[in-house]
Amino acid sequence: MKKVFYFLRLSLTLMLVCGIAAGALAATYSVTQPVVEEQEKRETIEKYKDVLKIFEVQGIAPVENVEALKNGKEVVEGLEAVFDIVKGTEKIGVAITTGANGYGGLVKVAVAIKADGAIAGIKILDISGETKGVGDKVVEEPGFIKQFIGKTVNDPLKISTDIDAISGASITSRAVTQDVSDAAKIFKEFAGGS
Amino acid sequence: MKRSVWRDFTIGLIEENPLFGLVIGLCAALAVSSKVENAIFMGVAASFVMVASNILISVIRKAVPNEIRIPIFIVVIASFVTIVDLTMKAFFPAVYAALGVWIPLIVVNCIILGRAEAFAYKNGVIRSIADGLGKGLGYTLVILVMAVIRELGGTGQIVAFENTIISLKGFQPPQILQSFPGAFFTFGLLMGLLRKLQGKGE
Repeated sequence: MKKVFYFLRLSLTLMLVCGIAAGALAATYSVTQPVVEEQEKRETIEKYKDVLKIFEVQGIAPVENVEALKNGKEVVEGLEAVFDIVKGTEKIGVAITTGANGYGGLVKVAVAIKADGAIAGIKILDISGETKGVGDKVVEEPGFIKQFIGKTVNDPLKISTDIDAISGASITSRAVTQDVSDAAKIFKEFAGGS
Repeated sequence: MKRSVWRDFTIGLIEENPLFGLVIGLCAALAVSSKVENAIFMGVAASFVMVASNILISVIRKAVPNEIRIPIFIVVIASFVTIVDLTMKAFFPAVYAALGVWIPLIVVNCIILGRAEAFAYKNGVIRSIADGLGKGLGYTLVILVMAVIRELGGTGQIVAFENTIISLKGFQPPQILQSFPGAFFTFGLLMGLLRKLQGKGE
């Protein structure tokens, strides 16, 4: 009987220590977490500012619920960020970053879509997984990207029927096309309305 | 015979220096000593955890049953490390990104558990603080010296806190000092030099 109490005492001591530690950590977390989130938001905006220069926008505002978009309904894979593009206080469009599987990893593309659904600009962000000198043709040949501009989110975007792939870089071309049509889907599902 | 508190502090600097004297906790030291800035932050973080966990363990040592002392030490150390980790992530994001996994890994750094077990569990608070400070400073000094050698020798300049502190002109830096083999060479040569100066290793 004595032994039982002894072990009980050991477990209770350990439990008490762990409880106090958990409390201390929770307190620290509640102080630092808002700072961390603020910082991450700033970093993301900084990252996309550079990208969004090509769209000649004056400012961007991150859509707060991108995580909710991702978790609630998994519409597309690889959705990374959604921004409202704003001119003054008016929302003139949406910028969406997605990643689709290419030859050797995710091909990441930022797509700017005007409020009326027209695709206004495309910037390829990351093709580091693609073969050098082959996959990067999607960046070097401006004609490829131009095919998307002016289409709307309701137009079919199918590789080799609607969009001509770059010969030799068909996998990367397909990934970019997938990204753009994913972005169109996101726009239609969530981000279109202001 | 009892050592003086001052001695508790100074013994950590050279004779029982965690890295050169006791030769423990090396992997993090070798990894972070490629940049002076990283070495400073790692040294401060490890010293803070060491002093804080030494204090707390020394305070609660009489209430800690012998059988479960190790789990309790680990919980105490892990809590302090997590506090440091969260604080650095919030207020020094650039350094946090550079130090990466090495901050959480302070938990399993045997120097700190070693001090808890060998010193703080058996000694009073004041002496435990002196011990933690001495070992922490000893650790910081060694990785700082290594970082100066490796960064200056390996890249030709020292950049810390967004300022170039020293820049060597017309010097082709051997890149190996920046890589892991360079860390081993630097560490080994420094340790050999120290032993020679101490008159050991004849």
